[in-house]
Amino acid sequence: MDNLSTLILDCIQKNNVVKWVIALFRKIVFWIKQILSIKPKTESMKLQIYKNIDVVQINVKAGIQEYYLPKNVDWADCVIDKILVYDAYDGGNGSEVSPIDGTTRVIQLSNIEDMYFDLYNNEEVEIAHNLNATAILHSNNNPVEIKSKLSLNLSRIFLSTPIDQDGCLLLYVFYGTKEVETDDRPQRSVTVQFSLSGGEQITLSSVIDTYIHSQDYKVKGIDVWKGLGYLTLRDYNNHCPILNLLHTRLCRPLMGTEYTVGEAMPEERCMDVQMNPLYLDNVDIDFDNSFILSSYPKDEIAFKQEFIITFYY
Amino acid sequence: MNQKLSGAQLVLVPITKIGVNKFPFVENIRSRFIKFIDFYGVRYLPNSAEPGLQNTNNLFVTIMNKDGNREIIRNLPLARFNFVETLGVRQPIYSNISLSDCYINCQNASEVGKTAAFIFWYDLPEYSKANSTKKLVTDSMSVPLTTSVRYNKFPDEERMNGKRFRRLLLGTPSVTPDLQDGLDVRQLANIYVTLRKGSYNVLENMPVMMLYQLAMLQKAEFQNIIFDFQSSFLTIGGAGTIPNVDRDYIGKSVFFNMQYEK
Repeated sequence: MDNLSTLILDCIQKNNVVKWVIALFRKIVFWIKQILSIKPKTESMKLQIYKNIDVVQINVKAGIQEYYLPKNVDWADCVIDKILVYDAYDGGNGSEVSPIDGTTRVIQLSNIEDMYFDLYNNEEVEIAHNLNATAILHSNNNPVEIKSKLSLNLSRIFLSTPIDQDGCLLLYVFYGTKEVETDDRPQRSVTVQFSLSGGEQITLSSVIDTYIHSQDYKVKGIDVWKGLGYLTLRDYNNHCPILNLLHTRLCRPLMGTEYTVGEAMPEERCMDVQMNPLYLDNVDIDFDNSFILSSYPKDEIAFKQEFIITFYY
Repeated sequence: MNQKLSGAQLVLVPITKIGVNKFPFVENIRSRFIKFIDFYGVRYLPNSAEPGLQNTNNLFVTIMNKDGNREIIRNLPLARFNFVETLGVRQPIYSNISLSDCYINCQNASEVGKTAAFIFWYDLPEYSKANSTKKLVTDSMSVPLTTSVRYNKFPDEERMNGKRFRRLLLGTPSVTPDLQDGLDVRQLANIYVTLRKGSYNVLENMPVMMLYQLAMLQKAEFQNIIFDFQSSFLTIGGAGTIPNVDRDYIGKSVFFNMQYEK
């Protein structure tokens, strides 16, 4: 009997211990669940930070349908992030012209829609077949990217419909681009306003004082709110152009679109949609050797256009 | 949120009266996790001679949860789903829903008698794959239009077999690389694509304009889906009722660029 009592007492005590263990186990599970129920991280913005953008001009002739990329370029051995085709603005003020010779008319979308790219990488493997130029148009927010070194011997451009008037094709080659995840956007900025006549060029130091450079601030981004021209930015330290004759429409902030399904594309593409300002890699800009050139020819002198540009630093 | 796309289905909702107009029951959507909904406002709809709803004024959408007893979205203006206004920045749903309990509240008498077209984008895990490489190839395909009332089949391009597709991009050339006449944007608005995998319609009657990325803010990227182009096809909307459809469409081609994993 005593043995049974002892046994029963033993069981009761053990039962308490069991209960205690179960309760502790439940507590531990609860704590683990608390730890594991971490709220999902807010999705950071992915920004493209541009280090090098170069211009390529290809002169196109009426009736000729096939063209090749130039060979003697700085980026021949670089991984090309993307190539954008520039569609000249047609706002009724005449034609935009080449930033290099100042006279050759830059071609427009009606010619570009029938343009295709066959691209080969440096191992001579085709990486793009019949890539339609609208997929890499400058106003395309999500252009097809290349992310490869190119074979400049094999890569070609062809037109299914030949152009009926001589002109030039402007391509912008992006390389060295970084992609960063960040929630930060640059907060400080300075905005400048000035006017340019057709064919006129202005150095940036004449419109922006040396405040940014003297304060050792680095430029992180650019927005061009108004003005059609070609922007060249040089690095203060090595004088290399970071942006080489980049058309200001590629630096335009979000403004919307006029396009509507079921209607014809508007002829005057006066609105270009960009996702973000053009972000740069903390550049110490040499404002004395950086400039903007009007995209209109010299004989359009009467046509004076206003520029508004924001530098973020 | 995973914004990549996998399955899509066109759902037509007849607007029969002022007030509540319920969505139809669609078996395929019943158990699916719906990611986004797009409204497509165009006159000519696939396999239908009924006029499509184009105006979004005074129309509101309510989306119900899978049990049909709770609103996920209540009376959101139809414009929020209109893909030409959202420019690809779609209204997220990210839920299982009870489609037949969802409805459009029509407060615009002039829209009664029309049919609203919606694209439901849903998760299709059985056909989706994670990225296996960063290396992509960009290719192209032209699809000739031969009929306004039946299916216009994709050409059999063997090199695309088994490829895992990330992007499908509609082009708008007037002449394709194989020297066929293309359609203009106004005509392309009436073209719909069905891309299949085996016997399943991964994208069913999706307007090809939703693959026109030029004006879109948000990138449309697929989850490495393998399509069977041999059984896929294009449809011209309106079921033969588009004026001069034979002259303006037949004999022309629709051009796509596509990106797939190398």
